[in-house]
Amino acid sequence: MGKVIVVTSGKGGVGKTTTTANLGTGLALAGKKVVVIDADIGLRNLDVILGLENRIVYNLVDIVEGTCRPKQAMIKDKKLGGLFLIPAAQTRDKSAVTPEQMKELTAKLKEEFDYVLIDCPAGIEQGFKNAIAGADEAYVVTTPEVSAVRDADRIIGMLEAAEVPLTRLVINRIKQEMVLKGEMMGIDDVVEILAIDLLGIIPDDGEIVVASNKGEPVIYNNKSFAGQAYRNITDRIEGKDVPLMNLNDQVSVWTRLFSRWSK
Amino acid sequence: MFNFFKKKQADPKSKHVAKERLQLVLIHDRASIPPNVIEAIRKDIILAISKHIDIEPGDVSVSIEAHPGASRNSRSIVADVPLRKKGEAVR
Repeated sequence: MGKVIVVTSGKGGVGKTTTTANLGTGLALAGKKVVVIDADIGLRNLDVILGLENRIVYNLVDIVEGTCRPKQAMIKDKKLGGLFLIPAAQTRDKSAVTPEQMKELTAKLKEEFDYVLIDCPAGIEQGFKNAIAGADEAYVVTTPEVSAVRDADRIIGMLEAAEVPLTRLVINRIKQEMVLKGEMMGIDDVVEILAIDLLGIIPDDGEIVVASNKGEPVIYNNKSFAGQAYRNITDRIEGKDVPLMNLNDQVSVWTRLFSRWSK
Repeated sequence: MFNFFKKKQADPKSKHVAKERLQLVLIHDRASIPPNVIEAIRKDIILAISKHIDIEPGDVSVSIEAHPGASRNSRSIVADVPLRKKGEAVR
């Protein structure tokens, strides 16, 4: 029996879709059978991040409405035999699916797949409720910014209220240079405020943009820090004890020295 | 030279400002008690205590506070009611 994991955040634009794509790819690279679901109905995006936008025939709403069988809507990844995508419908809205239907679908999928990853839409309305309905676990993505952390806190509260068994935190887009200068909240600050378990950290990395331009998740890029960060998170999901990446290694010696004075 | 460093220290780094602002706003977000309810509680407390002792209503403050280090949802309503010093208690 597999696990249903929802990737959520509250605030938009903090890296939910990128995280879903990379963790799905990472787990499939580790030999797991994975299906990623784009639950952002009306604003389909996971397909382009994975580079699968040209292969879509059916979508999530088609499955739920019985227009097609789940298998028919699943798009097989270009490279990985164990990775599948269920795309969002582009011409419908969030009310096209109900939480009960999502529960039923994810329950069916986890019989066959090791991981069912759901890319949750931003916000706290219907789309969010659909996405978390069948979740065994939630990953909350945030960036070290006031608005993102506030929204993450709200989402954590709602996940608790919905009795999602486990919620873990991913801090994305950390600019360690700014953290060292005291101009951005660091890992400890965000963890202290949100008070939930930390699953992983991802440094700010231009390679993410390059990767999304190409439709090839950054986890394939062995030279990128963000790619390494996603590989670490994948290992942790698989139960391995991997230490947090040392972000100071990515900052110049001068910045590190100067930061001792300016703290 | 040293003055330069001192001046920098006096100006709090924005990450501390961010953290403080967040902690404050989250106390209210998590409590989901609207400010007008807090104000109503404050007035009732003033009324109740004034029956027995002389206090200055303007000094009474009521706030929601988090317990540092405790779980996410542990909070208290804290009322601060300063008692008048003996010499001041003239009406």
